[in-house]
Order: sequence, then C-alpha cells, then structure tokens
Amino acid sequence: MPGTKTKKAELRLVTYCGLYCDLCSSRGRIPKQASALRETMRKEGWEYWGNTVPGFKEFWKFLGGMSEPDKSCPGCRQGGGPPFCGIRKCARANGLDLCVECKEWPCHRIEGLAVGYVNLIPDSQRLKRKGAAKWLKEQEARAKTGFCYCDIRCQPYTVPDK
Amino acid sequence: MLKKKDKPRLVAHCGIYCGLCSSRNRMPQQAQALRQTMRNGGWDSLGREVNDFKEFWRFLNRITDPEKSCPGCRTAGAPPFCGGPESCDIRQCALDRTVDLCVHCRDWPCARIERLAGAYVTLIADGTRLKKIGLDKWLKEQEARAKTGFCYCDIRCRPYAVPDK
Repeated sequence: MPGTKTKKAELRLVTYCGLYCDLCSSRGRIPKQASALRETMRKEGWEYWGNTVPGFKEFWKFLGGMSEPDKSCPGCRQGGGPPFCGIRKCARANGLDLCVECKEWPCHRIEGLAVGYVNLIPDSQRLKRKGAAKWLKEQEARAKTGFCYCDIRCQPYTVPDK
Repeated sequence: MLKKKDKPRLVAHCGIYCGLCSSRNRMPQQAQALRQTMRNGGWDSLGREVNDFKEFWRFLNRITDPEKSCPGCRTAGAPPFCGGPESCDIRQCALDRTVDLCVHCRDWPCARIERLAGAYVTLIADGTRLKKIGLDKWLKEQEARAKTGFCYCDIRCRPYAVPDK
C-alpha cells in the first residue's frame, strides 16, 4: 500500500468516481484541437491583425486557455470538474480517495453516472484488482489511441444529489 | 466545378486563390472539429458558467463557416491584414484600371505584385500558368491543390509588404 503522499500524486488525474481525466475530451482532445486551430491562425497572421476584428481578443484568450490541459481542466481534485458534483462531495465527507474503496460502492450515484459512462463500473473493479499504478498505465495507453469517454457516452444520465 | 458566377469570386485580383488560404480551407475545419468535441463534452450548455465563454463560442461559430471567416476580397470581405475592403492597393489599382485579374494588365507583374510574390512564392508562376491555360483549367488545378490540404501559409515567407504606390 503506497504512502498517502504518493497515493495523492498517483491519483491526481483520477476522479473520486473512478474516471481517468486524460480520457475526458477536456484534457484529451479539446487541447489538441484548440492548439491546432491556434497554430493555423498564428501562421495566417491573426496575432498581428486579429485585434482589429470584433470579439477576437476574448476568443484568443479563451482559445489559449483551452490549448493547455491543466487550464482546460485541472482535474476535480485540483479545482476542475463540475462544481456541483454530488459524488465528490460525498467522497470528501467520508474521507475517501476513491469511491470504489467505499463499502456502499456502487451506490445509486455511481450507478446513475455509469448509465452515461458505461465503462465506469468494470474499470473501477479493475482498478481495485490491479492497483493504481498498473491501472494508470492502461489508461495512458487508452488515451494514446485518441479515445475519449464522450465517444461512447450514453445520454441521458443523471447523478442524484442525495 | 464552380458555377460560372462564382468563378472570379474566389480568385483575388492579385491572383491568389481563396480556397488555398487557411482562413477558408483549414481554420473552418479545425474550428468545426473543436466545436463538435466541445458539444460532445456538453460545453454548449455547461459553458455558460465559464467567463468569456459566450464571446468565445460566438467567434468560434463564425470561423467554422468559410463565408464568414473570409468571403473573399471581391465580396464585402477582405483579409484584415489588407486593412479592410477599401485599403488593399492591389485591389484598388485593379478596380481603377477595370482589370478583373492583374495578370491581364499590361504592367503585370508590377512592383506591388513582385513584393507580394516575395511572400506568396507561387504567385508569379501561378499567374503565368493562368494566362497560358485559362481560368477554367486553372481553377480545377487549384481545387485539386486545395484537396491535398495545402495552404499558402505553409510555405509563405515573411516579412512581406505591398508598396502603396
């Protein structure tokens, strides 16, 4: 069992609910696409004359923010993620690093989320079985394929507040 | 194949083909891809909570459409670096001389064209070819180039300036 500090660092990009942040398009795809667009616009000279175009300044600043994963979304342990998430609130209240470590897992909230994120429950079971280090390597390999959760996400899904 | 009325529309007076400018054939596709990913991620509804998102989204939507990103310098639009529709000297000169394309002017290639060609290195050779094979064939060749994904800015040399007079 790794020490608390190591574990914290290890789980930086794993949400309480068991999602891997780099498989979210906010970190895995949006930054790449925003960077590609920014690079094209730079080559076309937008940085020099763009300020004469209404709305460009705000657009450019926002695009810059989207181009870096840690600005686009730093992860829900670092202030990112949906501000209203009931799962995170519950995990913190119970002093848990990961929901899968909770005796009530998979609770009704996790099951609600798993309607959308169809891989959530099997992935969490695997995380528990394999340990974070091995599991993270597998998620990194997935991320390299370009896969994002939103590619297979089912709608609608809801995470109950209570 | 472009419609007859569209033929001159996407060729600037100077001889640049609008479909090979990234404002029309790369930015719109990249902006569309980003918009699609953001929509899949729920940004079009969640984003309202984020500062400046509304302005960002409006601008992004605009540049997904080539006609809004740049309608070409014969149609209201003009590359902003030309300073707006009234201030490109090449265009102004062509309008004054009532030549549709600079290559048909007896002074071609003039000093302005030569300066522009310092950056748009294909300009004079492409203009010569246009004169030789005619606009229809030339446009087909440009369309084929555009399909490869090539944009002028990939090989453009900087800095360049078009003399006023």
